[in-house]
Amino acid sequence: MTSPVSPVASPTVQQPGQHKVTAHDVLTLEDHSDGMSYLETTRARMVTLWLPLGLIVFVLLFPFYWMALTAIKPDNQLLDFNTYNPLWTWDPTFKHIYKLLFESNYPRWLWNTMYVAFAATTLSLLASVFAAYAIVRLRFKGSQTVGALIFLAYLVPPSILFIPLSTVIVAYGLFDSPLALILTYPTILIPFCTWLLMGYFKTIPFELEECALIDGATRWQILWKIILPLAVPGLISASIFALTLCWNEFIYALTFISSVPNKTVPVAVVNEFVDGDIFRWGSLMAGALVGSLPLVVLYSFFVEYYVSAMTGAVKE
Amino acid sequence: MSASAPAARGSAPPPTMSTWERLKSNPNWLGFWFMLPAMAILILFLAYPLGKGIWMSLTDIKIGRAGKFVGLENYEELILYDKTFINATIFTLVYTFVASAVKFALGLYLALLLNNNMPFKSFIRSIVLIPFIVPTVLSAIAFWWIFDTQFSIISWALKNLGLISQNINFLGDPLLAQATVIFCNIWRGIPFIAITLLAGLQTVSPSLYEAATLDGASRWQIFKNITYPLLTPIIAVVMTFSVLFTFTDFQLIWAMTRGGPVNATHLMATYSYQKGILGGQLGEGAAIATAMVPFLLAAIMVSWFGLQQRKWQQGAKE
Repeated sequence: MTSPVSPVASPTVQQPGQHKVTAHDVLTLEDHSDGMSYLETTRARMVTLWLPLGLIVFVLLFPFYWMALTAIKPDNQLLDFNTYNPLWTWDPTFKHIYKLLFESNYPRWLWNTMYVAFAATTLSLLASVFAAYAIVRLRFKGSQTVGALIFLAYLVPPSILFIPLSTVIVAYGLFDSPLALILTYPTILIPFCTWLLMGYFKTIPFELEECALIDGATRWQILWKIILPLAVPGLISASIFALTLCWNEFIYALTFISSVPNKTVPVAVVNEFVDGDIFRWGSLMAGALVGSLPLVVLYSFFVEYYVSAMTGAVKE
Repeated sequence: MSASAPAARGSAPPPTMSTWERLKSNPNWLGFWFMLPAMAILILFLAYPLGKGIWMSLTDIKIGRAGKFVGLENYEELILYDKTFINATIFTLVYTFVASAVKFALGLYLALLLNNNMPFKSFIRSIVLIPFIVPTVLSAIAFWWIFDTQFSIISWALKNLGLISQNINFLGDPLLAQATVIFCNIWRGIPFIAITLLAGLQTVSPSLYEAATLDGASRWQIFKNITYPLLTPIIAVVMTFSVLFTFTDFQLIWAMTRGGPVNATHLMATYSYQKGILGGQLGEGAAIATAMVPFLLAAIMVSWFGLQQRKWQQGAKE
């Protein structure tokens, strides 16, 4: 079974009766999905496929339409569903978005979010590359145990850690500083990235490394000059997924950051936009929209890497 | 990690090697150096707080005041006298169970739909994942607006269709609020489950389906006897994660209801935040968080071993 050539070499588990599938296949499979669909009539397909699919996709996407629409509606149409059709507007206004970007702390929050996300991702990726390489290829004593422990760390959720962690953060003198988030987010990211990269490193032939070892390369050189260039798709998957996780993180940012200018977008939108104003919905939705857009844009460029990160982390 | 250090010292190195050489080439020492950054972060910010949390739950520590050991008093207090804690625990269980079951059913259904050959396939598959990409809090705020008491677009649509005459008080009525947050959790979780299961579906060789069709199997028989058994390993993993993250959910509730109305939508995580951080009772908050651990372990065991077992049974049959 030949699958389409894919830029993403995704790690997969193969079992008898199954064939290898990459992230590319998950998105664009052309040849071997449901090979007998020709047995169905067009009308049957309408009922069994298009109708339920359309309904589910509508429910999944409607909140974003509503979010975007509210963000560009003028105030007088915001709450008046009877005079104006609530599902469309002919007088879009960028007032809410303008206010957000030029008359509030929003750019600062956006910057904080990005800064924390990039720093935490970089830190996690570095630590994970070393850890994954050591577990997969150095085969030191206890490497299996360490691998299992890292998987267990994956299963420890932030919501049972944030209270003790807040006292730890205060004790280390990191409270209310971006560094608190940069150092705590990796506890979520390292297990995930290590696990994903272990899968990628395993797919790189051992022979390449043996050749280099015979030629006198050190482990350090092997890692930087042979393994990493071959694992670039894995690194991209891990880093964009980690970035998304950071952006999405809420409970640590809510607990460890107290001053308004240091907040991240999700926390600021929840805490700072909620005043008594009845027309607050416009600015709230604008805040939610602008906070989501960078991730959606990133996603649209790297769809396959996302899918490969999700499926790769689950399949191991 | 620490186990590798004495082991490395024990193995006698060739006498010609200097200590530095030994540190560079011995696989155990190299492994130690390579693991160091990851392990340092995980021990300082994960393992240590995990242990400290259990210790804090046994003390009466408050914000700004060191605590002293009080034994199981916090737990006693919570279980015997705190009705909100009991209700939060029950709601957390209901939330996890209902949301995970529906997410699984609909996620699997969506995966089967997406596995069809159709035009714009990769586009449809890509947009299905968007709810998973957008930060939970931000979509929860959109839902907050959609389910607004006075200006809900859903109430408006139902009124225009003539189905209801009054606005539905989605987030004001305790039962409705619980149903609403469960709905939002399902909405947010379906894409992840659907796409991971879709990846699993595509590992099933089409020749199996062809053979079954030639043998006269119905669609349901094909699903029950081929698709589902081959999917079980991946279902086990996906559902373990889903149950885990649903049980410990925080952001969705905090953004939409903050536990209200009348504490009806408090999950254990949100209640622990309310008690521990907002109320300053760090000890009690830590006790609530620690009380989640046995449930989590049980949930992981059930979804992991329950589904793994079927795999073994099938293995035994073959």
